[in-house]
Amino acid sequence: MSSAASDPHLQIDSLSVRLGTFHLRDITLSCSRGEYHILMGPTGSGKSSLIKSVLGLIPIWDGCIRLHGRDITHDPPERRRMGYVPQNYALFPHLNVEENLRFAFKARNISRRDADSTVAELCGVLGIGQLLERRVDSLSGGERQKVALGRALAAQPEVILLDEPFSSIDEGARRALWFELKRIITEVGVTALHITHNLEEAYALGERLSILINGDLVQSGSKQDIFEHPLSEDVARYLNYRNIFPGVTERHPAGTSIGLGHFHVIVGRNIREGQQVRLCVRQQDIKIIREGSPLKDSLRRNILPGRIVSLLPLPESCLMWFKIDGSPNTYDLELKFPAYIRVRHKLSPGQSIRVALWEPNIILF
Amino acid sequence: MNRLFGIFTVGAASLLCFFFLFLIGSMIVELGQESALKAPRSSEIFFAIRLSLVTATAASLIALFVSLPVAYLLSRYTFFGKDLVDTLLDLPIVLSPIALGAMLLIFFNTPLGHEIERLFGPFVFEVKGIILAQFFVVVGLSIRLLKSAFEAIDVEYENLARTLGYNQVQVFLRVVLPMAGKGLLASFLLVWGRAIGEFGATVTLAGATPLKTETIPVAINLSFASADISSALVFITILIGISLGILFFLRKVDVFGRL
Repeated sequence: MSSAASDPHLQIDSLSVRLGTFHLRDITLSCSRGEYHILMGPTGSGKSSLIKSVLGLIPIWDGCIRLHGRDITHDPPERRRMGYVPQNYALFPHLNVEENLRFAFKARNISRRDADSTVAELCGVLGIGQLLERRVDSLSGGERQKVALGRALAAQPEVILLDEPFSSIDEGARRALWFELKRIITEVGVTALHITHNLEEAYALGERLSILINGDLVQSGSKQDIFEHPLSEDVARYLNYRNIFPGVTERHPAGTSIGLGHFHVIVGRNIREGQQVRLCVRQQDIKIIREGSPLKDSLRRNILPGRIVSLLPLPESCLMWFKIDGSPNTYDLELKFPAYIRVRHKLSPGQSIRVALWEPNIILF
Repeated sequence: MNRLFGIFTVGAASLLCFFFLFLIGSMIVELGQESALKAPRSSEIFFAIRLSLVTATAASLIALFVSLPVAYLLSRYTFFGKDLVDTLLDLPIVLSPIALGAMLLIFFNTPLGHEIERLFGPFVFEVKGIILAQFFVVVGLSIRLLKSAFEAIDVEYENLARTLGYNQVQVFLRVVLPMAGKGLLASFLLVWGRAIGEFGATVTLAGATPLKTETIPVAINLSFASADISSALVFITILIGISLGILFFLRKVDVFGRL
């Protein structure tokens, strides 16, 4: 796990939560001031339980939560100054948009003048001025999200926690709203902890990411760290990396050769001989060799001949399943490349081709 | 098979509706014939209506007030012995009202019962006894209805209000109660309707003294006992009118979906 940020605004130390038979174990996570932190993990991994315990809505078993150095572990939710945008937004149906935005003011005894100026400011940032009189059940998914965000920000929280904020929004509208949300959070300057199980959303929005699997925080770090150097097979599998093989290391003049059954892979690193390892190559790090074209150095060591088993064209990319010559398996490797490559290489099932592994990105556990 | 099932369901519903309409129709015909023979005493009618309205309203309001925290507790929290508490509080729903009235009568013959009567005045054979009997008959129903109304509210609204600075009491008053508004109104009306028609527990604890503890159901019983069919029919018609009025109102404000 990477080290915590130097000046943590929100610091979670060794947090344990027990919820019946499910446990969150020894969670340590930190966010610096103004950071946009993504907490991701598969469904049922405990992401929502973790943020509810941070909010004070679920009692914690052990550990400590600090906000700007102040221990808030045992503070009730109303005193934590943390904003919350739940998955379904939970806009109060008996109140209109403006009343929802003003809801926090009554609890915090904010003067009418300050309340008016905060609402005006939020309407400007969120672009929801025209919605103030509307009933919340007449709003679109994106409008609901903005009102929920505005309601949370109206309380001027130190940290905002967003629980799958795009889960109720149509696929087509999501991407535009990702950047809109990020823009608003950045403009307001609040620290954000955003939960998602969507990898693209995590990659697009997160500055730092943490991965929670089955109640354990298995990796925390920068976006590049997480996506390029997963620390375990569990993380790699969660990130949807399919090409994972068990192997044994052997000495090689160029570094280390890893025997993977019917083929082997050479890496430049020196690893002790006879060690059991697991090797992972991301789908996008396997390149199709265009015969006759010059090959980059990083691709020269691991060239594998074989044939295409099947192709799955998607709107923006294409998936390909590839069988190495002499392999007893149905297929050995899964590749992902831009959609135009299929047309350019005239790829079709059964075709014999050669592929090469991008050596710098070969991951070993 | 599908057609047969359709005929069966529609047939059962039609038969039942026809039966109820026939009951009401035959009573109206009978009322027309009896009224011509003998006019019921208006003072007794007004007394019974007034007493029923006052006692049913008081009992329902008290039941609602007591049920609110209990129903909220049962809808939101899990605790040791919850099933036992739930079962115990459901008892008035399934227990015969006469048995409940008898239990109250026996209770007021105990030292604690005597002490309560010393502090708050007599209950047995008194108007206060009617309110108490009606309260115990309807409180289980009131808890059950309010619990359903609270369970229909996603707990996430309450969580969210807590993060916006509201404590638990403020959340209950500013989020739960307004959101359960229609459910509360429906619960009150159904409980009130049940209370105004209550007979068994009332007659056992408060007796059936004309112009003293004579609610509408007691008046119907007294009229039948003295072969005064005209008065009985008038009281029955009033009770049907009240019941239909409540049900019609509940449908108009669309609250059945919440229960």
